[in-house]
Amino acid sequence: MTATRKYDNLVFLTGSTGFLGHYILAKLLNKDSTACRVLIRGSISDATTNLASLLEPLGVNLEGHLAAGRVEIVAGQLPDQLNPNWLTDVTHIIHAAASTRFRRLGNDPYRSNVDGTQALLEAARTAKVPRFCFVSTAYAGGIRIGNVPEEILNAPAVGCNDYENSKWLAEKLVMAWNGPGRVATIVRPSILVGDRARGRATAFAGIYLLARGVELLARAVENDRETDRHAVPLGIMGKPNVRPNLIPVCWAAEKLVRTVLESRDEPGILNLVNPAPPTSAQIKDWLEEYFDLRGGEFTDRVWPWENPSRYEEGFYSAGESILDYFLRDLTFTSSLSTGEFAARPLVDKLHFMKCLKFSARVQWGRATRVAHSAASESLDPAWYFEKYLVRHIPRSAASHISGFNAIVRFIIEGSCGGEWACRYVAGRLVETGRHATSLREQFGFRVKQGTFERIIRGKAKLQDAYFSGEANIFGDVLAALKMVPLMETFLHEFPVGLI
Amino acid sequence: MWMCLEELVTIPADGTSLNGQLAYSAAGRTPCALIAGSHPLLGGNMNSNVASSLRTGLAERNAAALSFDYRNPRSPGTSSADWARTVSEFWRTNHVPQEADWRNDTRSALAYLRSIAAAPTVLIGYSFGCHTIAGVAADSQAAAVICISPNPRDNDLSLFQSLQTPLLVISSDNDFSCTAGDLRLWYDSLGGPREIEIFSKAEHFFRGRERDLVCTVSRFLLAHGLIEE
Repeated sequence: MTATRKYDNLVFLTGSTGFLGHYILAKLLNKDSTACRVLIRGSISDATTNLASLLEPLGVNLEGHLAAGRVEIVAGQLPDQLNPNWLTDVTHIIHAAASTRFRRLGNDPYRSNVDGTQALLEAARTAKVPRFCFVSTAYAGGIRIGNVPEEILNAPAVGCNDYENSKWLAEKLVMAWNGPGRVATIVRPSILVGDRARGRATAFAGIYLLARGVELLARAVENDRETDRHAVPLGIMGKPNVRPNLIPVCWAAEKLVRTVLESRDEPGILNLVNPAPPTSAQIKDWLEEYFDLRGGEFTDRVWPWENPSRYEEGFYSAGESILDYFLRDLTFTSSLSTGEFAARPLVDKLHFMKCLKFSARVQWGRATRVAHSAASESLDPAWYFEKYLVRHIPRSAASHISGFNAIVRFIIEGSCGGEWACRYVAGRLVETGRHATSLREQFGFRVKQGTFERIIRGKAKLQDAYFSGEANIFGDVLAALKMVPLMETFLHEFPVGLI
Repeated sequence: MWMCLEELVTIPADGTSLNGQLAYSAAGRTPCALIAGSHPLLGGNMNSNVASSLRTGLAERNAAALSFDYRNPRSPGTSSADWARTVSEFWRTNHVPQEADWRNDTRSALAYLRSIAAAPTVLIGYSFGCHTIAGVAADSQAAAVICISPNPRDNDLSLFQSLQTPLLVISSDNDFSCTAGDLRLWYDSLGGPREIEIFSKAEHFFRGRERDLVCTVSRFLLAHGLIEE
């Protein structure tokens, strides 16, 4: 360990490449008294490159900090690849790494969020780290109505999703960690949006899914001469006066770092929330203005309802996030609320529009890591799902299957692997999202990277891979089987390597 | 166990032809088994793990076993538009008009099998194939019928109700296509001699359990004197 002892604080940070995590790291490095030890997954060289590119727009020169010994990067993974030596001399832990998967798939989000937190707490106890900050969520436990106190709920709420449940379980572990010489803080940010200056974001789940749903509506209306884009028949489940609690990521990081470094010697929970968030009606107005759409009406009906318009089917297929944002009627107790806020709302129309513009400019995150790997002969699945598929599917016979409406997730396991969710409407591929939370799938395929390559090159069949155990199906098996001939058609028409 | 021989065969069917694969032992061919596979629009084909393991497994027990591909829903001459219409219909309803052709294909495959092997016949349906053998079982004078992973909710299997041929039903306790309740309801509605075998956690596909499947089928055929120990 080379981090020098000339700093007052040595912070061990997990989740530094995440949306909030890299803002936290930037804020920590703004404090002259603080050095950081950063846990990353994968190879240190790749992670360093990735982290440097994330921090550069925030004005942070990672290379300089690494050279000065103010930042150390260690490679590992929670819960089972944690070297106890990494916590030597650490004064604070900020545990921001998390799986944001709403619904359970395999062991996640529980393995990452509960087992990972447990492992880190135990290591911190052994290493006698005095301060532990757990980054949770304002929605831990899945409460849907009423006031959220700065306390751990007695039990998860009915309808709590796996992400919220895992955070609730982890919060209980964190609070139990408190003891002589050990102070734990739980910080609960609400719904993150881009930063105040530019609307910059690096993850596009959460409220962004709602925005993407509206963008898709706009695109669908453009292709439909019979529908007036200012009278789109769309029932919006929710109430106009509900206030989705949006907070800018930069503000959340600043408050979190200040809370951690200036914390008293008492354990506590902080709801990191917006005291005056916009209403659902305001957000709806802003989205409609940005995408030049009108016609959405709030409704008390519960989706799915009978005889939906095709716009409603498309809109709601984006996933459960959309169902939730205008429904949860919550207020939050927050010890930050007194005297912390200026007159201007944290999130207003100007800021929200910046977020939308930034997201559109970076294609909702699709424009960041699309490359055919030149270093090796192997194919980058990101290139395949985000470029190749998008380019060729419109020319495939499979795109004429009007009855085919589904969101399909592909999990590619391997060094270049990842997750992609593809949304098909009337046979057309209308959206491809990366990461676990991008879209809620109806079914999916989990395939090893080498097998995936053989399949898309036309050298192997998905069915054979399934029966040999190299591929698996999850979710709606019947729908997955129905998709097999469609995929075979496309793979026959457009095998990689022959185009 | 006998040495198993396999050959690709062409089966005449309503003015067209079907691809088939025939397995038999070098020593003899008693009985002969027809294996009707799963739905072609769900990836079913004559070489699925269930069809191929039964085919070779039964041949090693001195039977002749034939599996076949239903006529291709996208055969040459089918326009892209027709194919798209067919698949769209399937996505909406789980059924397509071609299913009548596939029932006829099963009848054609049975006629072909009987033309090459004069022996008691066993009809084996897997998944959607249970539906296609239902259409021929009643008047086929089969010696035994075996339904693997039947789905009585989506496929019409009512023709089995009057069947008096010995019937073996094989399913799994976690078959995605059919709940235990639906299966039991259908099984209890049957009138003839029958037995049922429920595999634990074999899903719809018996992936990795193919050998157990062959053993179960063989035990049933042995009990009815259709194969020798």
